Amino acid sequence: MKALPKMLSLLLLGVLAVPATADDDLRALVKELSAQVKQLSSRVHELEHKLAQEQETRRQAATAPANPDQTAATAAKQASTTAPTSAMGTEPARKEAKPVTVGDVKGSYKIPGTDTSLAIGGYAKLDAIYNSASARGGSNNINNLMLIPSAIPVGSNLGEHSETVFNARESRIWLKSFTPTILGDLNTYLEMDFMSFQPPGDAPVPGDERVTNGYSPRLRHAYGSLGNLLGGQTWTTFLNVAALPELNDFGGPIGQIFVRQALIRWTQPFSLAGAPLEFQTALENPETTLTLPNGDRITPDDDRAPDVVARLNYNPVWGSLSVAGLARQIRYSDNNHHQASEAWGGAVSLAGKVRTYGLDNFRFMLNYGNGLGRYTSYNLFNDAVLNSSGHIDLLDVYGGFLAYQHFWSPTWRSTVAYGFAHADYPPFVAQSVSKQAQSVHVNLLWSPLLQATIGLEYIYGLRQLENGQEGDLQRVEFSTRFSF
Amino acid sequence: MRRTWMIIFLVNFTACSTSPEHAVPKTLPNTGQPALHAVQDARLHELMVEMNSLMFDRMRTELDIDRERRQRATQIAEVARSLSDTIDAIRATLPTLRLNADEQTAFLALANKLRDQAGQLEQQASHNYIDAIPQTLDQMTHTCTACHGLFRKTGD
Repeated sequence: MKALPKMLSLLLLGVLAVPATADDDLRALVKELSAQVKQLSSRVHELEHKLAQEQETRRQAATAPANPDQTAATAAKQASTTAPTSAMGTEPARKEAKPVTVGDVKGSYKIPGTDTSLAIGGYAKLDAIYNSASARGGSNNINNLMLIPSAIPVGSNLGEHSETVFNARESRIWLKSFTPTILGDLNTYLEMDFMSFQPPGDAPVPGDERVTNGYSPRLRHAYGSLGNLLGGQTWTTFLNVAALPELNDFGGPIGQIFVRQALIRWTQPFSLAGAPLEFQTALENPETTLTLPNGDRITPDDDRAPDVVARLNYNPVWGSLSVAGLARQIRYSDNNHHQASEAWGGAVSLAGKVRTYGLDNFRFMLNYGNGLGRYTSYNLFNDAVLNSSGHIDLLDVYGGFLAYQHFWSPTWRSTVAYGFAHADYPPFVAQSVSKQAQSVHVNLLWSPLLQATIGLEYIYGLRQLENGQEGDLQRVEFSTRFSF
Repeated sequence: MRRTWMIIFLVNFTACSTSPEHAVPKTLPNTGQPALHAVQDARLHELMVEMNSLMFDRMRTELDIDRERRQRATQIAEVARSLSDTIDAIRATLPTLRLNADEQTAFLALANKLRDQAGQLEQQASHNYIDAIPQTLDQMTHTCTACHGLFRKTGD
């Protein structure tokens, strides 16, 4: 029994000795790390020295031609000693490849040897659509793929009864560049999709549904900007594109402004009482569309003055508001009958996107004018009416939409949108012209990733003619969109 | 004999157990109100979510979206700068917190870390390095969680 206290004492000493051993271990570890740090430091110094030497050699080579004391032969000799030769020994090998570096904007890379950042992107989108009425032509006919108000069946234009059509024509590709310059940023942008009009008819055309479903690419945007100046084809300045709701339907709500065209635009940012504002003014491609007394449409090719647009943008943290004005010369001439008529029309648009709660937002657009015509609802109404004596009568048009987007969660969201458009015709116009149209969109979208959106949407469209006849269209659209 | 066992037990217990100094101090009560730095942190996350939601917009051109991204990045840089100031103010309150030496060291280390991360975030946002921002925000969240776990009295 006497041995027990001794054993316990030894055990106690052993326990107390543990920290001492740990201390020794730590000391050894610190020594080892210290040695490694020294080794790495000397390696870094060595590499820095090498790099400095290499940079000096390159600098001398770069300044060689400018040095009058150095002959071409010397330079050539230097080049031959520094530049490696190819495997054949007759051609100099390609210059050492430089690594591609990250660009100045998200997702871009620098073009080697320049300050230009380049990026490419786009998405592949499937739209699986059920239409309550077909405008004929299947996926060749874009009236079956997006809500175009003038294609809502009514009167004698009823189409065929219901159809299902799958297509990927909205798939898109874009290319952008960004270059800082002494005059400001030089940006360019090119965007295309496959929603171009296809040849109609039953002949086996490239877009034929029966075999290959090949569709032509279409130019959407092609523009460049230097500082505040922009030139090229893009959305009209009259449109506040931030106000457009997020829908599966490519057509969007009736009543929206929706035009892309060639233009030249100046944007001037400024602030007033601390509020961030922006003034834009632009000259844009003119195009007159006229309704004949029998209701038919003509698009004369004799416009003289460009469309003039001015817009004021207010971009606070809670959203975006804009008010825009448009002035247009509507013109018609006919050399055969020595006729010419012109009139200046105008329009205003108030649009915005207002954050309400979290990411939820309310979007709206209200438009009115006698020069609104082709700028709204996919040219449902023309700019003016040509009376029987060849004179232009401008058309009063108004329209707009309201939309609310609710985020159920960061990945699930819904939009409800209502749109309307209306035109007041003079009494001599045929009763078959469209007088007004309305639409409703409701959807549920899911984005499990930022680059992927899957959603289902219900669309309802209603069109009324001047004679009171009405027709409607119902559509269910399932979409998948995968971006890159 | 019993005394010997008791001594051994106590020696081993004090050697292996965690220090009682790590217990949650009573000096940082939960007021029920969000602290300024918590509000700023929430705003940073909100701005990042807004920036991400731009990916859903298929009507605006990419150049327009880039412009909006830059605006959001500028806002993130501003909030990050404010957050740095707030952290400095928090550090200045250290003498009033009645923390012991070890707690002070840990508190300062975490505050410095958060300040560095806020500075890094400001730099990333100012230089429009958008892809780097989410990772820095995550790191800041970890630092906040660690600090709150050690010093914030909860569940009152």
